[in-house]
Amino acid sequence: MSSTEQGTSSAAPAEPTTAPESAAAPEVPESFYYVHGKDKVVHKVSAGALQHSALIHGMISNLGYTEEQAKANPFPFENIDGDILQMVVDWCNQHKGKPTPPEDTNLPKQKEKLFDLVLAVNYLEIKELLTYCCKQVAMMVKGKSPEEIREIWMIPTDAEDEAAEKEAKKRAGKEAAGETAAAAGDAK
Amino acid sequence: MIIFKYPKLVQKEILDNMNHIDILLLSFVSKNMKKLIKTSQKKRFESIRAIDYNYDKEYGEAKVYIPDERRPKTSNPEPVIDDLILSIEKRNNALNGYFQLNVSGKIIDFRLSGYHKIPEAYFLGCEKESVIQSIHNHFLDVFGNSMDYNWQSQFWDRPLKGFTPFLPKLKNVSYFVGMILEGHFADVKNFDSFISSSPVLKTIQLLVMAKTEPMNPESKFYDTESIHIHTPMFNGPDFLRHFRGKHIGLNCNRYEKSNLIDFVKRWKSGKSFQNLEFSYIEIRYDNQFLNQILNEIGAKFIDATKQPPTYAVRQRFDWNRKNDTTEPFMSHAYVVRESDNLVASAGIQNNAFFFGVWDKTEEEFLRIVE
Repeated sequence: MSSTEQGTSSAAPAEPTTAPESAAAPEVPESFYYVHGKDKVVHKVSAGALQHSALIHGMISNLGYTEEQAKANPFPFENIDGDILQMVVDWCNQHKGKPTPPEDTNLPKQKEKLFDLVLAVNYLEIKELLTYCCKQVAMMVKGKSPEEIREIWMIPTDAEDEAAEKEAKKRAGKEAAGETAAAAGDAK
Repeated sequence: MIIFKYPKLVQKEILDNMNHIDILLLSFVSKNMKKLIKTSQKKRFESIRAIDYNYDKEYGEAKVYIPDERRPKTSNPEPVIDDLILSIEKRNNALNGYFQLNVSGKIIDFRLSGYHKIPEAYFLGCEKESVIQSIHNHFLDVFGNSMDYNWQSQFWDRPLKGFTPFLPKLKNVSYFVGMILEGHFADVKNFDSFISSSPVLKTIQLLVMAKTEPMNPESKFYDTESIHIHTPMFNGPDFLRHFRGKHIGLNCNRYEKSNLIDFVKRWKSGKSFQNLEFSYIEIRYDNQFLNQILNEIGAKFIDATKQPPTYAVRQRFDWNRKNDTTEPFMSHAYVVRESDNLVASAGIQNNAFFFGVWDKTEEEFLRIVE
């Protein structure tokens, strides 16, 4: 179970609110860690839920933080939007200690959100969720014409790709010329 | 776009979750997308055993299937809709929802049809061959050539007046053709001329419905890898004599004993039928001579107390059952080829003479009998 509160970028985030973990409390007290995304909202997540993320699991496995230390050192994921991180945390909590079902129907339907979720999940190395997300991205274009696929996945046309490539070459040429000029200047 | 910003593994996982049809449609979106498909889906394409073009002569249309080899076998060998990836049809102006795609440099009209959203490619009369060629070139480009490409006649034995099989010239394709020898093809010159203008065929199924003259012994017809001929009404010419392929099956009314003896004699000499693997001749009438034929061909016999090996190879006559074998037969009789000492089992079963060549010398063959 996670709880969130608007945090700050300081090392000591605001106290997050905590909801009951579950009706049946675990016998051994569970350790918790704290994460935040671009929006600095801190999420309290149990170590069990975080096991889904190979990245975070690797980070925490040797830390041996106390509750206070964990609270004082939330993991910053500045490259992940707050709402996306919230989705990830929710998913990890929902699937904590449970076998993952073959399908997940609770993924975002909005394509932009889904695309961002894929990037976040891939970064956090959450294998099962990545599989669901990739399936969902694939399903978005099922039975669509190539033009519809282009629109949905926002794929550039060949002409756009060629123009972008030309532009990149031009830029690289300019940069190389700049470096040569700078080197010549240095030599003088 | 997002997908190109994803790491390669994520791109691959997304594409892995798409079926063949969606991958095919995606390949038309852009050159970069096609490149991504080709690099990330190599394994998928290598696991495809065949891409089959099934051509229906009645409608002049082809359906393209990727048979799913994992599906359990059923008694019905016909292709199933789940394996259909593309339909190539005559343009129908009554329909709407067309969109155009550039397929290997040719602009072709398409539609997505039905619940499965099967892509349908359309052609106008004379453009049929060029449309099919462009599509085939696109397949070769995207799917590669690790799989077999097969052009197959469907429902070929339904009579259709004045019909000539349509065989588009396609790279890396095996042709499986069914024909009825009647009408203008009853004149063997017309038939021979059709065969000589066609690519070398993998399989011919021939239903002989008219009296015909023997074909030129040098005809390309005899170079076909496998031929099955059914002559239910006439005593056709001896199609076996000049055969140079691997499998031949004859279902005929009558067959001359002397021709059968001659066939085995010439095989034994090593001068003819060097490529032959399997043949059978089923004789409907006057077939009593088969009871003595094994002695007359000079067969040797395995010790009667020993179990002879069963002969069966992958059958090549029915292209809808490519994974099946020939009807297994067991015989104590065998003959040996003088030139290389290879053995062929010879046997009689259900009014048919069976002949199966082993890739074993007599010594090796007798060793497996021990």
